[in-house]
Amino acid sequence: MRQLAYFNNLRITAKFILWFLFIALVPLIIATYISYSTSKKVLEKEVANSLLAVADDKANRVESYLHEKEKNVTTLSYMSDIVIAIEKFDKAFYAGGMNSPEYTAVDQEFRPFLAYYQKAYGYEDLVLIRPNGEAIFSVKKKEEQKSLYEIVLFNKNSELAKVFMRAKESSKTEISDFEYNPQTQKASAFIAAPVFRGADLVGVVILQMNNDGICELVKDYAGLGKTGETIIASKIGNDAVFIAPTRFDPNAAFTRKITIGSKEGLGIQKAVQGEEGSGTTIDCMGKETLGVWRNIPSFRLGMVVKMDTEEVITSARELRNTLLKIGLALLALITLLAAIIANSVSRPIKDLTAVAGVISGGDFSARVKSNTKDEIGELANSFNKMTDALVQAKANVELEKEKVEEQKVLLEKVNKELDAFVYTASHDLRAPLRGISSFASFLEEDYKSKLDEQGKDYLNEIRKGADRMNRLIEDLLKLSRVSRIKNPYEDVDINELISSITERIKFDITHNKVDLKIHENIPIVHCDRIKLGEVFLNLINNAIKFSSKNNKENPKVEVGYLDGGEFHKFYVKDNGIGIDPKYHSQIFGLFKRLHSSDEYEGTGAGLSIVKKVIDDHGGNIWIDSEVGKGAAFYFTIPKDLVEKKKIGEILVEDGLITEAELEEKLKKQKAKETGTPPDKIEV
Amino acid sequence: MDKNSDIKVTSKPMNILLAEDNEADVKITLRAFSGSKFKNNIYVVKNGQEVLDFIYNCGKYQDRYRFPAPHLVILDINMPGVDGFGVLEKLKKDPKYNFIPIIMLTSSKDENDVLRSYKSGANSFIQKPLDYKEFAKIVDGFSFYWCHINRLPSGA
Repeated sequence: MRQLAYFNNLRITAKFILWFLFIALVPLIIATYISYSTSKKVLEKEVANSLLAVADDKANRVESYLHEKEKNVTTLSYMSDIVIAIEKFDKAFYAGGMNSPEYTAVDQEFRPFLAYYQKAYGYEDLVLIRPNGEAIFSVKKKEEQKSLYEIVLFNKNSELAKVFMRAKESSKTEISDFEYNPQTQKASAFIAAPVFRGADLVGVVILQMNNDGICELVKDYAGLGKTGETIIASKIGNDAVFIAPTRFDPNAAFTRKITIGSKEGLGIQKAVQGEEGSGTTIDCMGKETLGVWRNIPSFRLGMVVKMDTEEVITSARELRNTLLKIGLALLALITLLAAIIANSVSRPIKDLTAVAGVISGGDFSARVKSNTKDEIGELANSFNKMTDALVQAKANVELEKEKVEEQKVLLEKVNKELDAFVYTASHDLRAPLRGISSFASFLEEDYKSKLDEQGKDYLNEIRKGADRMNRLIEDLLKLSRVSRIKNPYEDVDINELISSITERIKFDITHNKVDLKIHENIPIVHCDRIKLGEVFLNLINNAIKFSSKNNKENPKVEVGYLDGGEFHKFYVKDNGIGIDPKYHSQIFGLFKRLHSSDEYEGTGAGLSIVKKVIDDHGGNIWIDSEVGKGAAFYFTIPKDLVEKKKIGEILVEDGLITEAELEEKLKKQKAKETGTPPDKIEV
Repeated sequence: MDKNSDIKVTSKPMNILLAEDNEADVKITLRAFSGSKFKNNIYVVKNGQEVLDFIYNCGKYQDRYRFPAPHLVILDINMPGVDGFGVLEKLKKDPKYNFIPIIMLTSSKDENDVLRSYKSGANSFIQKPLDYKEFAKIVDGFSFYWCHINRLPSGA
């Protein structure tokens, strides 16, 4: 798998080259192997055939050569002169030995003829032997008569003795095995033919021949190439002894031999043992050879015609080498071709990558140039289209952004206008009010005596109306300020906050004899200190207001804390008049009043402000109350809302999301936390 | 008024320049001042430009005898043309007149206005209450403080 991964990570060019090489190499290797082995076989067969022919020819020639030599001797044995010569030599030798005058006379009479014959037919020597084995004449070894005699008589294992015996017994011409002649330093063999007068054996004529003729045959290398040679060996004892020189060893005769059963020279071993055949063997030089072995039974000779396998397969090798060279050239060509093709494939991809890099760098004007209509061309076109679409999409986003920006500017403008309105309202609306109130006072002061009770009452109503109007304006401004001004969140000690508030309304508390109970275990809460103070102030004020009038007992107000899991949960409870559940959903509306201002003073803006602050904190507010049973206001502040809001604001500041998106997200989050449907949530 | 009734008025009347564009407000303020036992000379102008003209003796206020340099300036914030802040900032930047105490008197109690006034060098910020009786008390207290307790530079 790792190798596969390695392959997959290669560049396209490398992949192409590897594939091409793989595809090209496999058949190339197979073809080279097949042609090499086929041609090798063919060549071997051919060489084997030609060796076979050469071997057969050589065997025939050796045989006929030897036959001729044999025939010469046979012919000689039938000549009357030789019969007479043997009889005369026998007589003279028998009468007085070799040094007798009779022998000398006979020798003088026959030597010229016998010597001529020996020379003319190319023999080494001509020997005449009595039937009892005594040598009575030798062309060459006149002086060695004695030894010759001894050999025939005593050395029955000598080739001469053996061939003499065979000829005498079989009454026909016999040929001995070759043996080394130390005197001539040549291999020689003896041919013995019995000589008869009528039916009586008078002696045996023996001609000693050398191996020159055979050497001539062996030296003929026609059809044997550079390493082909012919080996002729005779089995002597347990050895196959070379009787002729070999191509590469002129002194092989009788110096080189192969022991039967050894690993080398199996061909000649088989040949001297009478087998015939062909095959690949290791020769005596240790080389692998292809050879044919033949046996020449008439002369008990073995012959091997062989050639080095090396030479046989040289041409096959050459063929193989040529094929390999072609293969290498082909490989180079394929690599080049693969590189070119891979480049033609990968260049557009590289171009594409480069353009993609440029585009991702922010330059959307870059396009891929492609003039092909293949898949890569299509890819390039698609890429260009995609880039166009991207540019379009980007433009759209920019447009949207601009729109949002415009809306933001518009919103800011509206906000500013609202600010201006609020500012104007606080100044300009109140100036005439003060006029109304003040001039009513002036009337009352300056025209006291002229006004009756009703007139005074009317003036009073005018002042009260102006006063009420003033408070409405003030509450309206407060609500607007609550909406617009956002103070940073901080860790607020709620107990401390509440005590600072109760300090502010100390007069109302003591005046109404309120039994105010504030839990001591309220934790530190992360919130807008000023606004949360407003919440507690409004709720506590309300509680005092609605429990102080028409109450049989002293007003009781309790401010408490409950742990609501992900929320801080607060409540403000009183034992006042309570609120009918059917109004529970209305009381947070702006200027919503359940009682006349004569009964309970106030504009009805307080709970709207409270709700607005709680909403801004991501919390919830609700009432638990029934008529006559007091009221409990519960509200929650999320424990981790702060972080969420802050993170959200950072996101908006960084331009990662729009304010609208943030609001949507917070809404959803809040819906999840409070279990309220998202469309009923105001953030 | 009643509280201060036993205080003996020893100080000289002061020249107070009151800038107020609203006729009704002028009447109310003048009545409150005249009702006080601290008698002062109140000069009334209708906008910021007139305040500057009065102080710098420009335009119709060239007669220094008729229009003496004020000891105190009372400014409304909302005025046509140059508003209260315009006058305040200009005077407090002028080394020749920046010693003149300036009192902002306005119907607003906007925190921003209060802050801006003091940052610009205002010496006091008073909100006009709706109720005249309360306002009359404030004016009385104001006169008591500025004309009786407080010492003003005499260089003007």
